[in-house]
Amino acid sequence: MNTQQALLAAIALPFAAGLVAWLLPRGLSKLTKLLSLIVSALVMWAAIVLYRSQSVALWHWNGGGVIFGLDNLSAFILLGVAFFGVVMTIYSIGFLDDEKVSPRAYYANFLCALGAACGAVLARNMIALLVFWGLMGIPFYLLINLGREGADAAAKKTMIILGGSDSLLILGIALLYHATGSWDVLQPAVALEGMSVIACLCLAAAAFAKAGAIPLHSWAPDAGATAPVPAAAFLPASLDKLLGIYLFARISLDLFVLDTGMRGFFVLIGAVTVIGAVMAALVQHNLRRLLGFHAVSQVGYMILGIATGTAIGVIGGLFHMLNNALYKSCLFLTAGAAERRTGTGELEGMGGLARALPFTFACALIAALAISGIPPLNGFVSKWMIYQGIIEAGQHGLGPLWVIALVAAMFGSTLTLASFVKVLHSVFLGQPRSKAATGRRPNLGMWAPMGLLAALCLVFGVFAYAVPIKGLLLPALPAHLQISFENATWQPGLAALLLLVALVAGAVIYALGTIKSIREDDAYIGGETGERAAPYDYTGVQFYRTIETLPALDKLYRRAKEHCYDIYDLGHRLVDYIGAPLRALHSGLLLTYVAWCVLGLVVLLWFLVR
Amino acid sequence: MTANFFIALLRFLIFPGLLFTAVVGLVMSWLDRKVTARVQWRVGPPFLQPFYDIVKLLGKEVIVPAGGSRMAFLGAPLVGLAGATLAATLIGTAAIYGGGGGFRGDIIILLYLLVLPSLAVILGGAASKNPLASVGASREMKLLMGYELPFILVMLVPIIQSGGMLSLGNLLSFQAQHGSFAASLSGVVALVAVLPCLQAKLALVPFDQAEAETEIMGGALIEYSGAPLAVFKLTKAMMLFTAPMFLVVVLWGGFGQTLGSALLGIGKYVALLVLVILLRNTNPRVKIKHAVRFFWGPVTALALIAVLLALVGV
Repeated sequence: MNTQQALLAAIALPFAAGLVAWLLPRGLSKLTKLLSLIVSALVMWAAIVLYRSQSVALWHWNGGGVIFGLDNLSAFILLGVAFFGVVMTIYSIGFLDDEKVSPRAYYANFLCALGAACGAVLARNMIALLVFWGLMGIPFYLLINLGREGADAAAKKTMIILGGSDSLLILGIALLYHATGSWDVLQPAVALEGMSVIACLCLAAAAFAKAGAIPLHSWAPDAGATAPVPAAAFLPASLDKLLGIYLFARISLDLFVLDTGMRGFFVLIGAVTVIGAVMAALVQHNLRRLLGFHAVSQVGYMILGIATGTAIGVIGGLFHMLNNALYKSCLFLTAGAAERRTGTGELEGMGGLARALPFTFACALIAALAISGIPPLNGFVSKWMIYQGIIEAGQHGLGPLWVIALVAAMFGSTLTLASFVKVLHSVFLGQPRSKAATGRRPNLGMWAPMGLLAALCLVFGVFAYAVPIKGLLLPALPAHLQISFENATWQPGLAALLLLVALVAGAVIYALGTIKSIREDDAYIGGETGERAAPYDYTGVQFYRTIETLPALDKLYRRAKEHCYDIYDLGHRLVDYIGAPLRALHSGLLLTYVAWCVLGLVVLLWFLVR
Repeated sequence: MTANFFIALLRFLIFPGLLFTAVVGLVMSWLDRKVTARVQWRVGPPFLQPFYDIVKLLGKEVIVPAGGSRMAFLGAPLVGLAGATLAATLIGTAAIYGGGGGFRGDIIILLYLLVLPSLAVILGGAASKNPLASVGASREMKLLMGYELPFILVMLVPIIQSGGMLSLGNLLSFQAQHGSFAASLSGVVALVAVLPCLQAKLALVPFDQAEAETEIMGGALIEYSGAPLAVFKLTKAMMLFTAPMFLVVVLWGGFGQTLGSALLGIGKYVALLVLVILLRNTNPRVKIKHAVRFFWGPVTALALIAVLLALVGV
């Protein structure tokens, strides 16, 4: 496969296969799955070929302008998109129940989403970018719609928010063309003045909506909670982050020369996103909705890192994007396994699953600690880099805003840990719920993706500089953003080794004691045993009741429950308000309608005869 | 590489890492018990009592809750020990060797490492299958949320004053040149604001809600016995060394190069610790709700004042 073929294959193959999958009869669902697996693997191969080619592959339209092409950044993003495509296909095959989710519709839309994503990443022409960006909305809508109860509303919300932001993308691209006269995605950067300020804001709004930053975030938790699990792990957790942050990185690194004011604005959005979403996540009682809010919160870190414009911040931001896709999709996959085992998505119905699902628990533990930034896992390294980026930017003109950003980011990390402590407690540890753990066990198709993603969280943390940064991130970035990590303060390899040594030392202390004669006994719960102790169970609902009822916070949380911070519901109310007088006219009485018709005819007549 | 690694290993396991910190920490826990006893007009334990306790616990039977996750229950104490040891090593080498010594640490790394002992208690409590342990775990996490906000704000003071420095070595040499941060007005306010955070980090009264013996019977530790409990006790003792020492290094000038300044550094550490012990003995335990409100209210306000003062340069 040469680069030209790979370029076209990555875009055209998924679409063609999606069409075939849609046409295949229901009875051949095995063939559909095989086809999806082969095609996603081929896309991955194409992405590897393109990544390794180092040459700039281009594809022209009939000898005209350049339509598709790639540079280092898009090659890196494409690799991520293709990787998660393969992983999620494997999980889908292992997880999805043919009875509940039609394989024909699911895989057709999955492949089309993959193809559209590849097209958007590989587009060298703004119009092509726009077309594929918009095209993604359709499979997204249909995929989310395949989910459980409430999915239709979530799909509609996603469609409206993403579709609305697409119109801003059109406006932004038009204004950019007006300013530069070029459709090229890789055109020279323009300074922010006059119309290009609005162009920048429009493009950023499209990127933020796709990635799910506040205030355009509210579709992500809904979609995460209701879409089929692998689709939730693919769309809001990995694919949308890769694409949204790709566009944002293009905006802030290539398309515009950001001034301090614009940087400050983006930093502020990042800070608000981190804190706002994590505060919302803290009080969620549905596992996947909680994860959806974290998917929003993590975007804040990426925006913070990239918006600083410092080398370490940008590398940290992109690294965080990669890390987030790894641990967040891993968490969604473990949530799927827990949901299938217990038959519920509510934290209250789960509990004590660590014994029933030991492997899933191990993966969830690693991913949860990684997202909370516990050293030496990957999330820590990227957060550590982002914090340094913020501090460095603060010394070079960002002003006192850096203090707010840094506190928001660091305290947001604590709150993330708090939220995942609740998840680990209420799902895998804590008190086993009586009905829990009777459903189906995870199979190989679910184990393998979870294990792979969790292992990558570990590897990307312990070998952070050698593997992901040197191998993936630095090659994707321009020359002025290259820095060496040889003398960095954090030495992940040494630290991991020493932590391991300490664990062994602790085990030696255990061995000095009487650990060999271990005895199992019932927990002592005030003398109550068995069923009689059940009323004392401490579930995820109670875990942060204290925080919910603190003064000031209780008002915020009450208003959040009334959807006061959801731009979709606010827009809904506005439309309702404007439409109320018009609706009053629709009384349903034929006579009224006839009267209106006559009135209209009279006016028309007067207008014509006048 | 191998020789360097061997030295690093020695520093990590013997001095100033695991062994040294454990011994100092246990001695300090004796000091804590002795001072507490004197405040209550008791005689107090003999000097070696904390060591006896550990040895005694190692000889006791280990009981794990039936039907729970053994991996999480027995693994959690080790995670806390590992985190405390690495934190102690980074702080100790920075205090003794300045920027050198084969270890490099900065404020962010230590903020995260110092969370690990609390996280270990939380995970251990969660894995205990006991509702009272769950209550304890939840309280520990809420307390952590409470004091981390002012703690992070206080940590900004040295960063702002030094013009963006993070690593312990750089901060120490900056303080050696310009005088310690605690000598400035913002530094003093920061030190006052961080004191209750230190108290909570060490899980001492009035912030011992997670273990509250009289209400939830040890809370997160209720099901622990034998060697795992010994490891938790050891970790807690090590934190008596690590956490105050961290503040001495980043805010209060560290140990310096001369014998006099080193003695002064030890004096600062002991002063902080005695202050903590006295606070513990003169206050009742507050409810967790009030603790969180206290940290997010007055303490955060004080820490914010410190940050603002640092931003205007005093």
